[in-house]
Amino acid sequence: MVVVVYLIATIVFFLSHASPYDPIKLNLGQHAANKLIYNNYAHLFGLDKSEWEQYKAYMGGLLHGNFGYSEGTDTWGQPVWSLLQNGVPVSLKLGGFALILSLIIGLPIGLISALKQNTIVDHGSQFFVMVAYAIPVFVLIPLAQLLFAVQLRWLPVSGWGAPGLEGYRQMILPVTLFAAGLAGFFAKSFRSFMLEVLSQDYIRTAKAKGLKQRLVLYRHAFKNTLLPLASIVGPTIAFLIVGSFIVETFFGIPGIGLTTVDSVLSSDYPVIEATTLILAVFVVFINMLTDIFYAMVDPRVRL
Amino acid sequence: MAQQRQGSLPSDTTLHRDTGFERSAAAGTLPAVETEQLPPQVSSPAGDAFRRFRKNGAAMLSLSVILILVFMAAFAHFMHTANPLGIEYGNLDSNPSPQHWFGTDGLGRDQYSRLIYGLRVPLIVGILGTAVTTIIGSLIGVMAAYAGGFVDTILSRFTDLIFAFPAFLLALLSVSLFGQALDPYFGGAGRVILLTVVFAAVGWPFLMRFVRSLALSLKEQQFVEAARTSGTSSWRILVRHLLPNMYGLILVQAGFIVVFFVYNEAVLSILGLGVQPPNPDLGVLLFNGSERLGFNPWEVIFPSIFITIIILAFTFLGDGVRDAVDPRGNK
Repeated sequence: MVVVVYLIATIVFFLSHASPYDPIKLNLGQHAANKLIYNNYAHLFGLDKSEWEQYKAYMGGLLHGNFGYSEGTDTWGQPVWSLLQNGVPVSLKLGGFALILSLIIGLPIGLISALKQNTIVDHGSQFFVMVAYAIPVFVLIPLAQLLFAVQLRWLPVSGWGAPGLEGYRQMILPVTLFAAGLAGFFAKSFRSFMLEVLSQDYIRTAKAKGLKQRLVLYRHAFKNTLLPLASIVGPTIAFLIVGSFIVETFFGIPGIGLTTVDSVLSSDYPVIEATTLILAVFVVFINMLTDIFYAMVDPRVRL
Repeated sequence: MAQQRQGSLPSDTTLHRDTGFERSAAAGTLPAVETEQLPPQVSSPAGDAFRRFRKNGAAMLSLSVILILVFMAAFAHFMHTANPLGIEYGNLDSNPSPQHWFGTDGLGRDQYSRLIYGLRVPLIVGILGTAVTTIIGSLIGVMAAYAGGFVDTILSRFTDLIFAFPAFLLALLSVSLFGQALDPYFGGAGRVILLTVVFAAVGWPFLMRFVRSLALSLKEQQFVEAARTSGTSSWRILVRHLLPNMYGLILVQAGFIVVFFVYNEAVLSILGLGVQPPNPDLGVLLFNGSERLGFNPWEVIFPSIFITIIILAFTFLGDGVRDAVDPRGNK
């Protein structure tokens, strides 16, 4: 894992240094023509050193938890970490709530439609799931804003973190819409895992020996869906990351996604590098947890 | 794999029937036996799959929708009703009307014309990007599996590395770093080419793993052994014997990749990294529309409908292909 993180950091560093822009010129604008200002600026950010020296400094900084200094116009010279430390908890909160809500909605729907396969309940919920899963979140958001915020005026159009009750009202739309796609994905996957497990011989045996439906489900079926469930963690995380970019942009939520988008638009490379690295490390970490989980659930798997 | 031809031939002739290439060479020596024992209508896996696909209403409908959209995008030059970049200050944020079928945007530009031009970007990035990434993934996967040993280790580790890097982030990073530099080239299409290349470069690791595991089980089968014994070159075994047995399953994965690419292209456009204004693009139209929600909801509704149709159509198409290729999968 350490090796992967190291390689990712290296890729990020060299990719951003292969960019054809001169960040100094970008920031100084007309002043870049003045050699003295230009050189001072370059020296300040360590950009006058060789590529290799910069790489060593960057890696050394990372080891100490130093992500460098912002080169953006508005946030010039601030430590990158101070820009990010507010965004990370906001994003975790948003993504966490969305994940929990989607599990609460998605798993029961998947379970019910698997148990009542090919009935009207199944087809109805399958249709709902298909809609939630296939209509992209960036389509749902403006339509929901139009309906609930602009037309009906039930909820605020955007914003985050207002004190008291208003803060919770602001959370309703983003969290629900974020969760909708995931809930559809969970319901769809869980239904097919359940159907797979329910068609196994040991379930028929359990039923044949007279076990109650509830016991069959909890003791025999559920435990065996845990393993395939672990296989959809990857797509879920990918969805959460992409989703956080969209939801935060549309609703103006000051999370790590919005920070990244802002830094991209203002060509603030150190911040882009840092957010990419943090998100990549997050993904690698989750993947490692998934592997450990595999080994815990299935004794045949060795780490 | 159940994808080899079925038949009740004696085992010594199986070699000639499974491989295809050797069959033509052997045809001269065994003509009578071969034709006599063949059933009158040989059902090939591809033919079966195609027949099942044609019976799937949703999938056929999706295919027609996609073809129509591709046609509209390709011939947008003949189908637009107004200049997609033409500004009309007397007619801002207007509702749908006979002159402007889908209304106009905040600068009075015709939404219908902008939409059909805007269709080009997601379709090009989605379809072309998927084609390239599928070829890369399949070739690396099948090579790693067939070569085995050292080559396999190197290729697999490399894939793991790219796989660990979230595809979307790599795309975001590359486009933000190189996007502006490429804009002036190819008459504004530089960004589209960059998007296609970037998606193609990040999309293949999953497919590579998939193809590798398929190829690992296939290469142990007798028809590969037979091909090797008869002196077929490695490259030929890869391309003529291993890959043809996997086309169906690869196609299924490609269907999901298209959806992923179209989706992510739209996301990048919404974040301001896609095609740059004033050029039209579905994602940009959607985002611009969402900023003018209060003035004219039509500006967000039409792009939403089009993006949803594209994504739904490719999703149903992918599901249809999966059901056709692998009818045992639980529906």
